Amino acid sequence: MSEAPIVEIRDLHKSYGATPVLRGCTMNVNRGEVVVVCGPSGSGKSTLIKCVNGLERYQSGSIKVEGIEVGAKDTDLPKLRSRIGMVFQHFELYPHMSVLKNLELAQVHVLKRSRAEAAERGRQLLKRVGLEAKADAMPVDLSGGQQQRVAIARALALDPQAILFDEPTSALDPEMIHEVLQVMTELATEGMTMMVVTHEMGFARRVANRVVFMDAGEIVENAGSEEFFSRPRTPRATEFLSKILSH
Amino acid sequence: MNYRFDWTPIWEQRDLILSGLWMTIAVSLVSLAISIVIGFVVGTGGASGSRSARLGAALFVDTMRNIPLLIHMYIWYMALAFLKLPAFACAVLGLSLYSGAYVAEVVRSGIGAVRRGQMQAALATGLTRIQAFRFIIYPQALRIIAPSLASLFSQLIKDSSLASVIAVAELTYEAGAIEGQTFRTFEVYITISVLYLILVTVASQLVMLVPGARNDASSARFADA
Ligand SMILES: Nc1ncnc2c1ncn2[C@@H]1O[C@H](COP(=O)(O)OP(=O)(O)OP(=O)(O)O)[C@@H](O)[C@H]1O
Ligand SMILES: [Mg+2]
Repeated sequence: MSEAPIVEIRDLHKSYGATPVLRGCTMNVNRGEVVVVCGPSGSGKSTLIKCVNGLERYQSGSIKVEGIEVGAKDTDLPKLRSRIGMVFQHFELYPHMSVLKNLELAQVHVLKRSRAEAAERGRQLLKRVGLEAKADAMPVDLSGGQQQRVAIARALALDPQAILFDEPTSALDPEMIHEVLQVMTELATEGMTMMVVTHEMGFARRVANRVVFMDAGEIVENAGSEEFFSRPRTPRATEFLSKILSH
Repeated sequence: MNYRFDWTPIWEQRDLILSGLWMTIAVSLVSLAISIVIGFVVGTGGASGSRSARLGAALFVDTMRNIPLLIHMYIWYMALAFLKLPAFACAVLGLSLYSGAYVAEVVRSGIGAVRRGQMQAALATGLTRIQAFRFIIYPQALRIIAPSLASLFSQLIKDSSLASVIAVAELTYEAGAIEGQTFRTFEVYITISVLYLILVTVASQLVMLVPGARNDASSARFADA
């Protein structure tokens, strides 16, 4: 495949004050690929994924999204972000708006679609995540799993080129994890480009093309998922896998 | 006590009382509008990630709040005398700065009470920071702070009585004038107290019309959302 990667991260460094959090990360996400990022708590996964859409700044190195440098002064960040969806651990639906309004907002104010168009697209996507009946509900009246499916629909509403997920299931009760992973698996099957921080190794094994393993701000392994699970190359990855797979 | 109430002189001066009432409403409304603008600008700065914005906001708030309002009135009246500004403008300026500082603190705490992830989620969809404040942060903050705003606005109406010291012909000023002519002290001050009470009640009820502000169930649900 000769097409340029959607996300291209080169030698990325970031620190909070004197504490280095990312120490020279390099990785790509190609079009149509699902890349899972895993690693112990505090290893810098959230920081890395938030650098991709410019929610966090970095001190050196480079991130290109569709060829555009995220950290460059003249980059139109809102425009770049509207092409890259993001799903958060705690859903972050807007609690003062109905489910449908959550889906309409950025369509209207960022993509400048008409209300009617946005509502139509919103309902379409709610149907797709199995929540068309909840269009007029308030987020607080939904279960965690339902809220996260709405959040995925909200990201999809902008017809993004890729979606970033930061631990989308780790705030969920076990019985709701499945419904969210189900939606994500369908997305992957349809060819959506995804960068997913998760501890769901079953999802990584079944759905991911590649797994990136981070530890202490470094990308320690970056391998095909088959290879990562059967033959981790580093002791750190081996230890992580044995810990996480044992429960 | 042998005081005999006589309300006739008050009734005869009703035009003065009414014009004082209008002036109180005018001073309060204009100051209210300006202090809301000041409060949102400074309060947003105070809640921002930028250190210099936070510092500037804190400096403004501490200075303006800690000068007694009476002194505000005198200072702006004297300081702006060379501009030949009417006393009305000086009173509005003093009240707006003073009460704007309080509004700023309330706005800052309201913004702080909105989950941090809300801003990130809004930005992540491509909204600009200003749009994110307008559609996501302010509406949520406003519900949280509506009760505090209501009491600040009531305070502002009562505080407007200090404009009388720089001869703005509002309710308290007119009361003094009528009292001087009629010597019906109790009647005059009872009358204007009732008028203040009505104004304050109406104003605080209006603030609680902010969508969701009165709905206890929904604000409780917000708190743990
Ligand atoms: N705002 C911040 N200020 C200072 N340090 C921070 C900040 N945010 C994160 N860190 C630190 O940066 C490091 C990486 O954090 P990050 O959230 O990226 O880790 P993570 O891999 O996502 O962890 P988790 O699995 O717990 O979500 C941690 O040591 C954390 O304490
Ligand atoms: Mg994290």
